[in-house]
Amino acid sequence: MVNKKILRKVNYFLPIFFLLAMALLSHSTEASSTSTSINFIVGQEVAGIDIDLNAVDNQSIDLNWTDVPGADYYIIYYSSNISAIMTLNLSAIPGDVFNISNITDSNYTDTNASDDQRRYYVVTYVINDTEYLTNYREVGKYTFYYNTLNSSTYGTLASNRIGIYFDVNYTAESFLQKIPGYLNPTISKLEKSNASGEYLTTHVRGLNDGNDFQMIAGEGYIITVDTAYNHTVAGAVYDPSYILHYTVLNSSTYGTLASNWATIYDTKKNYSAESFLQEIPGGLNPTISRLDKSDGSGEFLTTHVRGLNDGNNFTMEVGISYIVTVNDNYNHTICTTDCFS
Amino acid sequence: MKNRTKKFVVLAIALALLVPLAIAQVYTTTQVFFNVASVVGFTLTLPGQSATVANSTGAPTAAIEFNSTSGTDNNVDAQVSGGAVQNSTTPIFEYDNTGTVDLNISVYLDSDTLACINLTGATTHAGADNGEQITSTSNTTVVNNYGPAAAAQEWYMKADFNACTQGQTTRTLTSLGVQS
Repeated sequence: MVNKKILRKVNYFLPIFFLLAMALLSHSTEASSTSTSINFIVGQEVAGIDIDLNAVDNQSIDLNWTDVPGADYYIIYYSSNISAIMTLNLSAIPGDVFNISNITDSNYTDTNASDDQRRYYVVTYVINDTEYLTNYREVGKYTFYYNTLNSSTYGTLASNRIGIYFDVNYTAESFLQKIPGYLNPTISKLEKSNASGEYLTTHVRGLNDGNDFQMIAGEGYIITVDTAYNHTVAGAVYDPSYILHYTVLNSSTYGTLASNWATIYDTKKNYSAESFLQEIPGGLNPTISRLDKSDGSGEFLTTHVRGLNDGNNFTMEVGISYIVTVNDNYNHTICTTDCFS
Repeated sequence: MKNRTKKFVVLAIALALLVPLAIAQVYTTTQVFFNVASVVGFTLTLPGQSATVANSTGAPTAAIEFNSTSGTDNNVDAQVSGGAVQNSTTPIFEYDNTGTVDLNISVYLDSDTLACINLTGATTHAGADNGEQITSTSNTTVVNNYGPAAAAQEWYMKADFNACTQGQTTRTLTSLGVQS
């Protein structure tokens, strides 16, 4: 009798328990989630594009970039105007910027790169007809036009003053390896010491002469070749401010050793000799010289003195190195307001 | 009068016979449940990527990053690592409710960012400039009561860098969807 009573109660409450259970289940804290890794990167450019000189013809430019998932195709913009590339706005493309469109691979060889002495590149991608800028570093190339003037008076004038300004890593030997061996290329850098005064350290291509120094962007060098040659260097554009370190060694034998070889980077700013020297305190009496050569005068220096109307206020160019003299050590910061970042 | 009495008695007997018949009637009841499963589900899509289906353990998406060249930059847009950059028309996250119930979606970090970095989020690009801070200590709401039939939910994130030193730090951002 008792069991029947219990069973009746159970039968009565069972549906209620069931309903309560269902209600609880339907309002459970069921959850679903995704996880996304976030990288906060400071002061590091994202590797995404490589630029190299084409090994076959030594004048075309090979571009390879990281594939963007989902991209329908890529567009390469290029220009000789670095500002136009570094500040490219896809909604207002400047007239001196050109493009190569509908590239479906993640590489491209610019066989017309030799049309310009300097050419800069940036890659964009398109998804569903919408174009996006990549975060890949802007890259570029510069071609040194080495010449060898044959003076009737002075003979072969083979010196070329150069400077590199891309984010590249060259030693004297690896740099000269990009120049054909039959041209017998050499590279020299200016050094100075109390005992030796100002002197050149010269490395000859392929020679174990103990002078295979590390090249530094912003530093000037002398290249000699037997005959004219166009030498292209390619790399990522170096954007931040940089410092040219001018030193003045007082040699007990040779006196003041004030010469410094320097080059400028390609920035928003166009330098003249005077505007460049205006960035150096006048109290240091700075001067700047450019190597010139002619049949009648051989190799000679055109020198401008800060603030002097000497008729030598030449236009400075990238890829060329200049001699800067000062009266005392000075760190010359370039591109403090003229960089692109 | 006699006849009327007889009729009443007969009727009373007939009714009395019918009562046991009604009491003897039996029946059953069956409760019928029409169940629609409560499915909590959503997908997260990053620019140029396939949709990632959320699961109970945190389905991984493509990595994203914020780049500061100088160490001091405001309103740096999120971007897919090696890929698309968020802009005014391209959110870094796009949620889609693929389940059967309304969702509350929120985000949180596994640990706080460096002190020099402030990560914010909002449902509009401009709003992310001064959006809700995203931390590890509380969930930042992306959307509440987000119905299965509603349009995709956009989410933008930006970061402020203030005098950060060079380097790279990594955090994990969880997007959590729970039933409203």
